[in-house]
This record gives sequence, C-alpha cells and structure tokens, in this order.
Amino acid sequence: MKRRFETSEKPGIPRLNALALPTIFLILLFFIVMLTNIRKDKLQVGQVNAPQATELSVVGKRALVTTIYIGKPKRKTSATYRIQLNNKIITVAGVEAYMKKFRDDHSPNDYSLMTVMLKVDKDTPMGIVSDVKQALRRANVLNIVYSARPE
Amino acid sequence: MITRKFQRTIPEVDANWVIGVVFLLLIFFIVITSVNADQGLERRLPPPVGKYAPIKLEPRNILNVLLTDDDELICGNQIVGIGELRLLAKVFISNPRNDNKLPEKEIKNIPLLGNMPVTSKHVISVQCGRETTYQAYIDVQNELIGAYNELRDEFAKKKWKKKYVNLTLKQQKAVNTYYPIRISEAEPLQSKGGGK
Repeated sequence: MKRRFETSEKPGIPRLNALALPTIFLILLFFIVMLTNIRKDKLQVGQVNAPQATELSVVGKRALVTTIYIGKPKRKTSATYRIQLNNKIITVAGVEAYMKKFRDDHSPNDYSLMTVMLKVDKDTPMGIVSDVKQALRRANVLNIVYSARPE
Repeated sequence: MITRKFQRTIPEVDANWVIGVVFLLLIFFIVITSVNADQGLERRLPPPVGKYAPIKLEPRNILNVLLTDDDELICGNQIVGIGELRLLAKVFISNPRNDNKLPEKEIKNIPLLGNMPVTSKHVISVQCGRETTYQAYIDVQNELIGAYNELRDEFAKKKWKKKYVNLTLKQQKAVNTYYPIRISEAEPLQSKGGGK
C-alpha cells in the first residue's frame, strides 16, 4: 500500500469508483417503487379470497378507483358478511351515500373514469353483492371490476 | 480558500454507508412489492332504474342464464354444465345460420368492414339467486366474456389473420361493433328456490 503513494508517476490499479454503485441501486430502487402497489387499505372484513377466472384484463393504475371489499368472517360466531369501502366498514346504504357524494365532488368529465373495484370473497352469497351493485347503480357509478385471480 | 499547487488528490467521499442504506431499501421494496397489478373482469352496470324506459325485447333476442341458489346453471330451459355455456353463448351471439329462433340480424355499416349483419339486439341476461356463491357467478361471467373473446378472435383471424389483441385500435373498434358485448346484470331473484 505504501508504495502506491510513493510512485506517483506510475499509478497502479485505479481505485474503483464506488459512487457509481449507489446510483445504480437508486435507479433500481426507483424502478421498483414505481412498480410497487402497496395496499393502502387495511382489511377489516376478514378473509377475501379472490375467485378464479381466465378471461382477465389487467386493471392499470387509475385515479378514481374505489375499492369495496366483501369478506368472509374469520370467526364463525359472528357469521355475517360485511362490506368495507376503502378503509372503513360500511352498510349498503352507506355505499350509496358515499358514492353519491363522491360523484358530486367530481366534474362530469370524470364520471366515465370512476371505477369501483369489487374484491369479494369467492364463497360470498350473491345477495349481498347484488345489493352493493344495486346501490352503485342508484348512485350512478357504473364501471365495475370484479377482482379475480388467474387460474 | 488557499489552493495549494502540490495538492493533487481530491479527498474521496466515503460513500460506503450510502451503498449500504440504498441496498437495504432496495431489498425492502423487492420484498414488499407485488408486481402483478390487479386483475379482474370489467363490466358496466345498467343505468339507474327509471332513467330510461325499459326496452321491449323479442324472446328470440334474449338468452336467459339462470343460476339457482344451489349453483345450478339453467340456460334457456335446460340444466347445463358450465363447460357447455361458452358454446351455447357463441352460437347465440353469432347466429351463424340465420336461424329464426336466434337473435335477429341487422345490417350495419361498420368502418373498415362495410355493411355487415350484426346481432345488435341480442341480450344475455344473467340472473342468480341470493344464495348463489360468488365463484359460480364469476364462472358464468367468465365463460360469457370468453365466448365474446373467442368470437372476436376468430373474426380477427379470418379477416386480418391476426389475433384480436394484435389489431390496431381502429380494427378492434370495428370488431367490437361487429360483436358488441351485451350482458345484462339483472337483479337477483327474490324467491328461495330459484324458480322461473
């Protein structure tokens, strides 16, 4: 090591520029952050196992997506299916009120962009799902996506 | 600052700790990432009740698909398996032999295709009981969308020798008008047994 500093005319192997490494890692980091979609909502309705389907289309990142979860209760004692809208437990009437307000808060240009993502457990009876659908219909938010996973 | 002539080397910034931190962050995000975006079946609900007058449909234009509370599938008047539904729906939508029991055809002028006979008035009505499971309902929706997708693919192959997804947007739009998706999301049946 000592010799390297003494012979300044003939430098040995140049030291690796370590500053390039964090840059590369940072780029990778940003790339992965972009890809990441962190689930913001905390599930409060118990289990939500998506049903399986084959003819799926990928739902990209959209601005005006509302997510409605309907989940299977974990404990069998309180065996009711509950609805969660974004982050809170809600009733069917609440869904309608929320969506109506949501619609009023936006300009008519955005109406066609409003989408509701239905994440429903596969064992849910259709009654409650239909109720939610009718509520959405009454609120005039008509684009829905049935969340499912590929087989 | 006094710059000295004999100073040749710039003191290097110690970047090792940055590498460590960024690398840790990288690992962290890789672990929590779920790359696969949300997937699902996209549908559009009918407009609210009372906003538009209900359209009267001829019986030949309707295909009734009924899911009973016990997840039995009734198509038309007979019990069918989920595997048969796709073929039934395809025949219903396309009406290949101009059968007068299947939906009527209407000559439509479609850009890129010219005048084509389109079954523009057909409706597939999906009904289910309140106890039908969601998976059964999604299966039915999946098969119906699959029927449309297959028809569109077949048509695209015949016309342009390409798959539907590889067509240009204009071509896709033309195919969409030739095979419009018309699935009605009817309200659930109130009766327990499924019934008629």
